[in-house]
Amino acid sequence: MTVMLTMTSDAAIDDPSSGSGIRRTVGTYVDSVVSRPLFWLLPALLFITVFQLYPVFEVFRMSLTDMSLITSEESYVWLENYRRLLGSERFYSTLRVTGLYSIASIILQIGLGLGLALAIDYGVRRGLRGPLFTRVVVLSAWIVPGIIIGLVWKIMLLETNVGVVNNALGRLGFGIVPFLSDAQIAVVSVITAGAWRGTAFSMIMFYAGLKRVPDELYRAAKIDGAGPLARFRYVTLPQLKSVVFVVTILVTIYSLNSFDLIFALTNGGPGRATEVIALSMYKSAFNSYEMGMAAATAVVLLMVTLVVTAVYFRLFDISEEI
Amino acid sequence: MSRILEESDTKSTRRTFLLATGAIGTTTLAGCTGGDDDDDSLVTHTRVGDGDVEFDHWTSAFYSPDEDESLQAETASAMRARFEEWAEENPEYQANLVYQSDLDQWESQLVTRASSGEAPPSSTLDSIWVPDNREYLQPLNDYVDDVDDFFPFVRETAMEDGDLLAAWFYTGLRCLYYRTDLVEEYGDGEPPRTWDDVLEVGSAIAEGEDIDGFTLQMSALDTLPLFWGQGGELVDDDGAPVLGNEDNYDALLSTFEFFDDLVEQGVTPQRVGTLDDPAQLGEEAANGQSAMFIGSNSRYQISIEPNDDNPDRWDVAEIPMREADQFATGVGGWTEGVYAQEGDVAEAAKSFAAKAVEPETMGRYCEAGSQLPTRASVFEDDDLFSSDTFRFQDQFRTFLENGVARPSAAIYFEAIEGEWVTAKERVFTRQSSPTEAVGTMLDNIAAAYDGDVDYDI
Repeated sequence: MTVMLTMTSDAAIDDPSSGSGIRRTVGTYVDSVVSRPLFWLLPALLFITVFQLYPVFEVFRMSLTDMSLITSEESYVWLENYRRLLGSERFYSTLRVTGLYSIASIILQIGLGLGLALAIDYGVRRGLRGPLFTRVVVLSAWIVPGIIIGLVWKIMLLETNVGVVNNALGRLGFGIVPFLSDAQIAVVSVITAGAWRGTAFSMIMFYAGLKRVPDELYRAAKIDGAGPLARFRYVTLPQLKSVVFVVTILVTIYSLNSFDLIFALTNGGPGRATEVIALSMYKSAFNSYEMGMAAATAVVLLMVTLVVTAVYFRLFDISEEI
Repeated sequence: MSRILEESDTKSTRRTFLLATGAIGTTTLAGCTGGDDDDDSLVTHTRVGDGDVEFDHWTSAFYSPDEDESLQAETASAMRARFEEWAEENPEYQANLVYQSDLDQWESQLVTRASSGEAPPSSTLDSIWVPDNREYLQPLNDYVDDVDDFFPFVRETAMEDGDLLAAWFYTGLRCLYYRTDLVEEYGDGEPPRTWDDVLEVGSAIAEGEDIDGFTLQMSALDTLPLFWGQGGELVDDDGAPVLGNEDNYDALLSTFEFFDDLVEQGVTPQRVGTLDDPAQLGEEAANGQSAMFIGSNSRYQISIEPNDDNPDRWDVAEIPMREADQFATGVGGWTEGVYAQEGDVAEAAKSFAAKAVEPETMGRYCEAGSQLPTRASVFEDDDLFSSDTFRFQDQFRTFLENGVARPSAAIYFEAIEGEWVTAKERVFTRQSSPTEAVGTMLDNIAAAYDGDVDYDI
């Protein structure tokens, strides 16, 4: 009986027209499909295509047109928007401000973020109380929307005795400081507000990186006679290299694309002294209604971001870490 | 809320409008499809009348007749009265109110749809949208009586070849607010009429009282009258920028030199270069921090009266000009327009729009919303528009004779308005000389214009 069943079964397998044969063929086909990486990548690719690549393509296409929010007509002007953009003094002004803002943000956010993370890590390793509270307080700056932060800073920096900072300075005997109406000081104000907000993100990233550094390394370094600075230089920093890279990249991207905080704090003023590229793009689109020009600005900003990121990849040798 | 609309020239106010209308968007939409369609009333939040000839009317929740739904509840009864009267007079018509919550979308949708023949039969329009819609808006002459009764700016902006294209049912203006006690003490008691007067009395007050002599905010409409008053023109009939042409350039440069003088002579603080909130300007004045400022007609009610212990010390005057015989003020406001070209719907929509500018309707609305009528006769009849609506009502009526509306040429919104503000900021914050700021402004406007610009300097 057993032999019979086995024979029947084998015959069925050999006959492709039988139900089991079809199932086997389908099964084989499914196996061959699901064993290919493309099958598993497809949902992600589809998502990226619809929500990332298509919008990028559409922005690029728009940048070649004279699309406006106040007319329904649209025609291709090809590189005219780029010619106007790259030929305008305003673009180079916003590029300078964006560059200055980004460089200062990177330095401040990485420096302050690392400093705070080290302090918290120090506290945690020694069982001190308060690191969690400190983390929550610092992180709250990251959670609050940029628009709100911009408004809060605007109120703090008001150039009358009502302004929190000027009021405090006045009590100390100083005069009113033009935090927002002096072109140079306004840039410093914007950078400070941005750093205040962004430091929280850097701190969290660095703190996570510090948690990964094994205690054994510090103990070994101590046994070898390394002092605190030497341990930081030869243990902490090398261990944080990949984190520094990621934070630098992300802070750069965030800084280059900064918009909300500056929009609320100065709206790019006075006289475009604090106008960054992203804000200029917004104004082109929604103040001047020039969607084509705004799209061209977006494309240029994308290119700048990609170039800067590529430079980082060249500068940071982290091929082993990623 | 009416005050928000009255200040609608500023970007921040436009945002406020968007936020306010957006916030109630869901409620409004619910109202559009909700239960009150079944209401037997002649006027509901979403419907006016119950006749067979129906048409859609785009509007804002600011103009709802329903006090619970309106974004300016104080005018809801006036709107209801207007709608009820119209519905009773026209039982064969029904207007379906379609509420718009996004101001920019609304504006662009009107032009876009109108250009493809799909505009709504009628709509409420910001007065600055009217010129852009001129070729699509239908004449209301047969429905609106006594067109000459409107102030000159209405005839100049909303009329073309004798056709009244929009029913401008209220307006607002800019003027000089000044402290009578300080002007009396440091001047001759008369409000400054020229820029030299402002500089003279302003610097004396600033020095003597250690307060700001004269302040203004960075919106374009607050300072464009200084240019318009000299006969300056921003664009020509074709919408091309001409503010750099010979006569205009002189007016332009002198205006920015005045800004420079204000800061140079300590009359105005540099910080006004970042001041974009009209409320802050008014409240600073009410708190004794400034002696004179340019503000809207409702600024007294909004900021001075509630915050100043002695509001009677304030008075208003026309905006000071380069020469004493020059006058101008910036005006805004909202209108009703009709796109339907013919048939019963067009007739219904035109009668609906015209109802808004009947003297009784206009007076009632302006009184309820603390707005200014656009008809001179309404000011003159206490029964139509109470003389108690504004403390400075008689002066405002006079100022409106010199009202100038902003041009709606595309280049104005694309570049002139923004460049004007930027140049002003640069001069007030000492980043540029007047000549440099004006030069950069003109270059940027020319670069933004879709066509050749040849400033004939």
